[in-house]
Amino acid sequence: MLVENARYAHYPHNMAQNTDKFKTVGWGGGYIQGGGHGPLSGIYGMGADNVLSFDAITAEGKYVTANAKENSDLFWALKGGGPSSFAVVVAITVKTFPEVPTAGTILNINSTHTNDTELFAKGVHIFHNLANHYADHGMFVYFELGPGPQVLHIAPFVGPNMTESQLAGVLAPLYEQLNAAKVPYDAHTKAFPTFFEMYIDLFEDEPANRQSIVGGRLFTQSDISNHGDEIADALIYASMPEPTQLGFNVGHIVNPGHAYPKVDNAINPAWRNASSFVITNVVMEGTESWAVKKERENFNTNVVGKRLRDVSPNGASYVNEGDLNEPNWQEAYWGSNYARLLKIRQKWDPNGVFFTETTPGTENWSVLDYGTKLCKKTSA
Amino acid sequence: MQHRGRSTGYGSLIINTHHFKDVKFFKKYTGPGDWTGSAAIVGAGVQGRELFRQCFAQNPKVVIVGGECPVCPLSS
Repeated sequence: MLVENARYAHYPHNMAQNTDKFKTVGWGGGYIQGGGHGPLSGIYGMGADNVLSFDAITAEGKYVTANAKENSDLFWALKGGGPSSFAVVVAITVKTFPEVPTAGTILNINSTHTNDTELFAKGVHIFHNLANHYADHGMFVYFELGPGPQVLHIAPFVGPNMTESQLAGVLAPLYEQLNAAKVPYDAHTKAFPTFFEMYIDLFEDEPANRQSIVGGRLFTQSDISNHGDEIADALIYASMPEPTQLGFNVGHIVNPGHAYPKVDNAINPAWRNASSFVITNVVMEGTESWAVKKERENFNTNVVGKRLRDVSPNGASYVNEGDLNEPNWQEAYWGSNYARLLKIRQKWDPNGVFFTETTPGTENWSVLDYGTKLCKKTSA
Repeated sequence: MQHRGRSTGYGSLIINTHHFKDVKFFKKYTGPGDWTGSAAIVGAGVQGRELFRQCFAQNPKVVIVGGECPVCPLSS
């Protein structure tokens, strides 16, 4: 809860600009309270879609249960309404599902295959323009584009409930198009009796101690259909946005709407039409001056972030893995759910006991003095 | 170490839920909500991979939707 914003907990490289949040990975994250996408979201929905009940301590210090019967407004808000915002969650009752056989494919395109930047870009376009296709099959695809130019590492394509040949079938259009365009790559596929065994074998631990300024964009199905090429170009740009500025994209192709087309919770409705959610990173050393960090934050929001927003008119952003300076964050993070969330926040935490930046009801607070103080704004 | 949260302000409080690590599995959920399948109660400090591992140890094996990050807590 209180401790931290989930966005710092998820990726080590989500380090904020000025501090050392990173050591606290694993503390009080916010996975569920931010929504929670994952490798099984294409068949079983988002984390918060599956919560049946919360045990929580309110801002008043009362122990409460929040579920469909009791405190249903708090229940709704805790399911995706923002990390560390409504109550201190101490336990969650959540649906469990049967294990499923799962196949996975790892695919790489990088400088060991080609130094032709146009050919590489073609490969990225072909891969990412098929995002709706993968998502429509209940898949999840984890990919890294960058750091720097000419690195695409897809590890892995996850095919839940698929055999090796079924996954190869879904990926056939990808291979056909790469081959037709003469884009070189390497790929290997492996099937497992369970999701868990695939997860342990094919997912890599995320790199530690990488420092960066984080942004991100959720590209919806219609944005991929209508602006796929521009989106792919924006992502390639974000992997090296300036000749001396490294970038790094971490992508997650999945549509939780494939599992649950309609839900009653606070998660941004844009996730029901999701196709690809990409975290961007402006890579930093961490030792830069405050002024340089602020300038790079501005670059992250108003240059890299703007380019992503411009090519995704129906897109959204994700509070757990997003820009702390996201413009119109209320709309970007929660869409049409924001007004209701604000009311629920005012009811359950009228005095602002909880605080996480860019969460419902924190508009009237400011972080001051180089990130060390939190104060109520004196005028609205 | 600094946090951006309220918790670091003067007179404020940080609660560490990292040690709330109990997980209980149920074959059939009987509480409120439209669900009669299997379920689990997960403490706020349980991290992704350790939760997946416990799910895998059940008979029959189950899964819970979690992120791909091995060290993120599910709930807090």
